[in-house]
Amino acid sequence: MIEICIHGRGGQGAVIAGRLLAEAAHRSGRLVQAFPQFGVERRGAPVTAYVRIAEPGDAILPRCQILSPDHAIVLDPTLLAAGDVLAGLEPGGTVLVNTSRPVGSLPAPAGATVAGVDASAIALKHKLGSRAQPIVNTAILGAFASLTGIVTLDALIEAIHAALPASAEANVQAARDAHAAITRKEEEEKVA
Amino acid sequence: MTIAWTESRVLTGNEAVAEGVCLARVQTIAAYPITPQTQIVERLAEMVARGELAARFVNVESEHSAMAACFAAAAVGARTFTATSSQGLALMHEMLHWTAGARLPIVMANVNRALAPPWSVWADHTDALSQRDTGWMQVYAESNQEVLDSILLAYAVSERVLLPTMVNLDGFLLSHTAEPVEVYAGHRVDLFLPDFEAPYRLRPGEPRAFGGLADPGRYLEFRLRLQQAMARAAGVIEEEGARFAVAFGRGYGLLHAEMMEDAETVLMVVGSMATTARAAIAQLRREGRRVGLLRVRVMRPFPFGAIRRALRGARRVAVLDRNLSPGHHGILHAEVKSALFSEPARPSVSGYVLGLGGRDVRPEDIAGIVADVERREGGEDLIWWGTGAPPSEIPVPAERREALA
Amino acid sequence: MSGSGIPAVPHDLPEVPLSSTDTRANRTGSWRHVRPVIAEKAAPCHKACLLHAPIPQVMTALARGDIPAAGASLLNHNPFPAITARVCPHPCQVGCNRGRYDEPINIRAVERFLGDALLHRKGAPPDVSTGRRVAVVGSGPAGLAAAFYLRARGHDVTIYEREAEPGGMLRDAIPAYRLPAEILDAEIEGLRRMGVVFRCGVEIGSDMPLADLLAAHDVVFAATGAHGERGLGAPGEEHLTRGLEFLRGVRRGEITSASGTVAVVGGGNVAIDVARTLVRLGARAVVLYRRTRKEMPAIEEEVEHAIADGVTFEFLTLPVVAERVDGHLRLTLVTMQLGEPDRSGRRRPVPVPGSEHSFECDGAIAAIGEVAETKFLPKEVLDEQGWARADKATGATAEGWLYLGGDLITGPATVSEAIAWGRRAALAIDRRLRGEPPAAPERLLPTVSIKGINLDYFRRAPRTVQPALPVETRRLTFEEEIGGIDLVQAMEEAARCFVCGTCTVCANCWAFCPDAAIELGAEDAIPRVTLDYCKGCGICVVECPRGIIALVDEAKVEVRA
Repeated sequence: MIEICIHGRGGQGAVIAGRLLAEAAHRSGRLVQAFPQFGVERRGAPVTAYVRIAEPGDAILPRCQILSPDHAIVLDPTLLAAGDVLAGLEPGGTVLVNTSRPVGSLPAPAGATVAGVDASAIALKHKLGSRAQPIVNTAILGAFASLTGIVTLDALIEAIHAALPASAEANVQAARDAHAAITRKEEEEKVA
Repeated sequence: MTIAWTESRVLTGNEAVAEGVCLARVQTIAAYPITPQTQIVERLAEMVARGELAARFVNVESEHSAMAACFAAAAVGARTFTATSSQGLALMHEMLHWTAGARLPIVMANVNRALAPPWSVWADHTDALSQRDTGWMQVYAESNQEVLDSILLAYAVSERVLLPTMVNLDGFLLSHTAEPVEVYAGHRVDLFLPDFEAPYRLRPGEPRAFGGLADPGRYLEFRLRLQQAMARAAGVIEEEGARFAVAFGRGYGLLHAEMMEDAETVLMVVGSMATTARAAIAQLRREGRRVGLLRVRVMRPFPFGAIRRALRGARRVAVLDRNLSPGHHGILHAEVKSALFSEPARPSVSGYVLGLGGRDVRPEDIAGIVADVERREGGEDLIWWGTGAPPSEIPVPAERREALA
Repeated sequence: MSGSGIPAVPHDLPEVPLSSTDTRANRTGSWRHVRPVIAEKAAPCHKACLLHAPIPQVMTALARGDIPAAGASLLNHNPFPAITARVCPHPCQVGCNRGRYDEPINIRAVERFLGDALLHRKGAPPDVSTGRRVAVVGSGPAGLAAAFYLRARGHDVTIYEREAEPGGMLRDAIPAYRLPAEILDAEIEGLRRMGVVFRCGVEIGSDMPLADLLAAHDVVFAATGAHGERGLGAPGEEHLTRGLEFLRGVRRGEITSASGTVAVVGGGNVAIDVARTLVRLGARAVVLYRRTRKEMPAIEEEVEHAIADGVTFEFLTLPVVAERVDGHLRLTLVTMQLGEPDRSGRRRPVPVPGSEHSFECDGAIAAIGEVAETKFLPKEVLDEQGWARADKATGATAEGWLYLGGDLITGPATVSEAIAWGRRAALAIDRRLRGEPPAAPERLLPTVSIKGINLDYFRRAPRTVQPALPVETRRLTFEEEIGGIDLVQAMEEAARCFVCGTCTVCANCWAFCPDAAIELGAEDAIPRVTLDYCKGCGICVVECPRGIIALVDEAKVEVRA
């Protein structure tokens, strides 16, 4: 069972991101579960979405919040300053951050794989959301697919077409761009 | 050529309700939105607006009016649906008696949510259990698949026994959680659930009184009829569940027992908590612990017989209640004990109240309860689980200490 | 769920609490001591309307966009809505119940829309011809209305008019800014299409004796109006122009400008029309009236418009001498005070002794009052003073073949009152020509007040306002000052109507009746109460939105029956 937390702010598309990830995984025949941090979502307020993915068989996806995820996706880097969004990350877990800054500058638990992508810039390039609030969910999922291989880019694109038919093209392009644009911390260090 | 008999879709519980209602070819919907049920109403309104569902959608100003409109629609023989939650269900209370007493096979989805105050929009079964004496059948789903299936089953059962059914799904835990659901092809559902031919209905031009005055010489007998219908419903639920299994490959009954052979400790749960309990108990089983799981799917009619049979041989029972009857205990706990009273050899029964107002219930909690109940050989009626301290140790506000002493 | 201990259920107990018999077995009507009576009532607008037009029916039809039905209802009582919408004071709007809720219905605007919509479509010849011949003398509103209804009933109608063009006061007195000539022309064209024959330039009495007219017709209807003008009755009255003469001169293009200060003596509609016309010709108009504004017989709204136009008013003022001084006119005015009420109920003006003062102006026009000319009528229909006399309800006179109506009988009155006379006379003449006895006088139903309206069924909605020329523009021109509204506005305004007292078959009574005692009939038939089941609870009375149902004591009904 893989557990993923998606941290964002109301309006960035964290909840939809969770559903898209589940949809994409479901397309390859896996068990999935996606749910928001239950509450009353408001624009700008911190929002967490949860995804569980497991191979079919006798796996049981429990119905409770994810406290120690294998992967964390952070849609807004300012959430990292609060400090607790990465608390509980499993040792050896992955952190993917939407950022325009060098990945090395990001705080992350020791041993975690850290990667970054400028999902905001990619979203704006494809006119997703507004400058004040780009909708970054599809872009960052493209990067997540590239980073972890948990879902393929093709499965993600299929899920986008199914879930967001009205704006599928821009979102697919954003996912593709981010899939290619991801920066891993170790690569960054190598270059340096 | 292949024919798609079903389609596996990732749906939330609310979406599963709407798909079920659409497949059931409901004819009248009257509902009022309330968190966390709102998406049901939105989805259905869209389906009606787009012509996917040939139903009349009646906009109403309250839940009481919603149920009153459902009463009227069902009285003329329409297949009728509504959905609500918590405070909305409480406002419907009077009309729940009316519709059950009038024996109208209305189906409702209730998204379980705590009652205020303090304000809460999260899962809790007290809303539905407060309505347990109205004469409505009550089903509690564990998964979104069961949500969809239970809507179809509810019509199949209700229309046979002429009693309304409340299909319960946990707020957020199911209503807002997306997971794979098999959505059946419409023609297959039509075979399972044909059009409803109401045996009793109002017809224009032949005015009759529905729910007219019954003098003291008759009222008692009408209640007896209601009780007979409930008694019959227990069997009909099993029959329709078996028929459903033949049609769609999944069976449903009153009580779902798992890992019960040789079980010494049995956990009894209701609703979505069963999934987490199953995950925890499966782990305990792997560790060699003799623990079983009993999920009460139907609270009305209450499955007395099935519970007695299932618990024969068990040493102790932990009843997990996501509800509270203040001044009493957890409601399922009390009812399980009443079912067992006439048994010559009965297990000890402990009652755990947990998860109220959406408090997270985790596999660790389940394992903890199993360990806890195994220390209580005589049983304990009310154990607060997850409050962090025993009730006696929760401090009293200083300024009220004297008054509360 | 043990079955033991359950007693035997009576075998006739139904499975569900649904009555096993039709509820009609229970004749709840036997419980009744009061009875709802469904009877339509008069709306206040209908009652106040000078023509008693069925305004609620017109509004109901128009609200659903049915112009033909709305037009048919209206034309049945008002043949010329395009004219009345422009010149009638619309007392109907004063009593409108909606005015006690938000704002009264703009009946005038709706009437104007319908009148204009029908203007060029009216005028089909009658389906049948009776071969009976009627002469109408005078082509003012009374004569034209009589011609309309007589011709519609298949009689041959010829109108005799003294002037070169038909229309009477409509053409010669009412200024163009209130009633453009093309509206009147279109109405007359409609009558021509119906087959009404106009013979203009023929004055009955001088050009052709009344007796000759009778020889060629079965009945004569004379409505020659009140064209005689009273003079000032004071020294120098010859220096004053007469009001109607002035208005006629303007409408015929003979008078095209005026300047300086012109005094207008009088307080009636002619005086106001003269004053407002003077403003448009370039003069300053001062109205001198011997009573106060409250007693002025002129249409209130016209007085307001005159004030807005810049006309000034001197009340409690009477000229007693007029004299020419150095090319100017000097009026000697007396201040008046109000004394005891006279026969008209208005307080009689009495001169204040010693209050004489002079008033300099460039001209003066007397619009003191108009009187009918009756010389051409046989003595048998005149009273001792020489005034014509006729039955108010029919226009019939002592001479069976002669009917009279309009200002000829009433003295100067409104266009609507003249039309009402013409219509009443036409219906009476029609019965006479068919050999039928005179109809019983039309009786109005009791009126519904705001208390009879269930306001819960209505939403507040703003009143439609007609476009109007701004004051600074309108006082420079004879262009029509008030504009019309479009179909959507008219439908919205009509939909605001409560439809007081008229059943729209909304079926509320049927829906609310707990005993299924209301029977709906054919599509637009008024629902009936089934007395076998009505227990007299009165819910229908409360839930009727428009006050048609009333509870009547059962004992009283029995006595009456």
